Amino acid sequence: MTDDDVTTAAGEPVVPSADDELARSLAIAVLGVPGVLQTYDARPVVAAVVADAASALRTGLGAGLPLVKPVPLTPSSPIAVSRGAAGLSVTVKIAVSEERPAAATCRDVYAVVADAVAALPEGGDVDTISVQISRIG
Amino acid sequence: MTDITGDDRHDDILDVYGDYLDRGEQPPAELIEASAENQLAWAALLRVRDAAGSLVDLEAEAAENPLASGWVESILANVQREVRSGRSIPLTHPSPRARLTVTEAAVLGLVRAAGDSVDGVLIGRCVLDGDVEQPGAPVRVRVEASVFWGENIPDRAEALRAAIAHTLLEHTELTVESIDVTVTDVHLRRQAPVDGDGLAPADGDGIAPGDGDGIAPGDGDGSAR
Repeated sequence: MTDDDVTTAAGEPVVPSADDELARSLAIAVLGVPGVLQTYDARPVVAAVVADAASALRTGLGAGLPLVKPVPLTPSSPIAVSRGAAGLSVTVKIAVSEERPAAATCRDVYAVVADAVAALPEGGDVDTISVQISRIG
Repeated sequence: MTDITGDDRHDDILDVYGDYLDRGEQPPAELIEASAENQLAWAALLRVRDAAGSLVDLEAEAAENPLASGWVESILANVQREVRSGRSIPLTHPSPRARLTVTEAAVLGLVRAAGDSVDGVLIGRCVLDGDVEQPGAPVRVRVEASVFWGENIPDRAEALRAAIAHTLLEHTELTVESIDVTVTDVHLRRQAPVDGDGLAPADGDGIAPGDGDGIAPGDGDGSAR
């Protein structure tokens, strides 16, 4: 078991979903793109709050604790992965360096995500891949 | 209690930072790093603080002219507004599945940083006029700035324009129609550069008019002092 593993109050491991795993692997790939400084939480606000609260409850945390939360409570990454009728949607929010053109970095991030999604065993049904630059420099 | 993640949208982030600084504390890294908004605001705050620190004593200046120190509050209010994400500015891509964008806040942060990097200039306000969400639509960049006394205003305005144009061309696909610079304030440095021209300091109204080379004077919208 690693430091990143999360267990329930009963000591059972919380098993991340396939989309959680995909989001985590995409985050690693995105952070490897030259010019990417960091990723931001791209999950819809409500979904992020619910997911974090649910994870906190599962792990026996939450009640009465202050809102201070400097480390993620869930194994999910800030990259948003969702599935709809039209297929898989991925949303990435990033900060990029001024050292290279931001648009080029953005396209490289798209390419990395698109390649990773295409390599999935069940790949092929992709709806959208959204990459948002939230900060430059 | 302040949410250290910065998720409490009821608090303006600059107010939160101010609370820490008033206590002589540095905001925690987790707060600054929690979002792009927080990072943009912190970077702008540091630049304003550094610039203000190089000026003559603001309290003494304010005693002569109550509006004199209001410019700092005005700049911070503008920063607070600009760091919110705003509109999504598209970046082109041949794939129909790609949705590539840069937030308006990121672009304004870029403009503000480029402007503040110009010696003798401090950005007061940045606005992108035009339908930035429409690829190819003409966009007018409007910037208000303070210039330090002793600087050549047309020269500084041109340097500001060049810096902004360069950074926008480098990092965005905006069709920039014009970059309009309005110098709204002139401030005294603590140690004014020796220029030997014998000019007297600013006379209190702090407004240096343009000289017809494209630098507009205050536009009467309340921002000029």
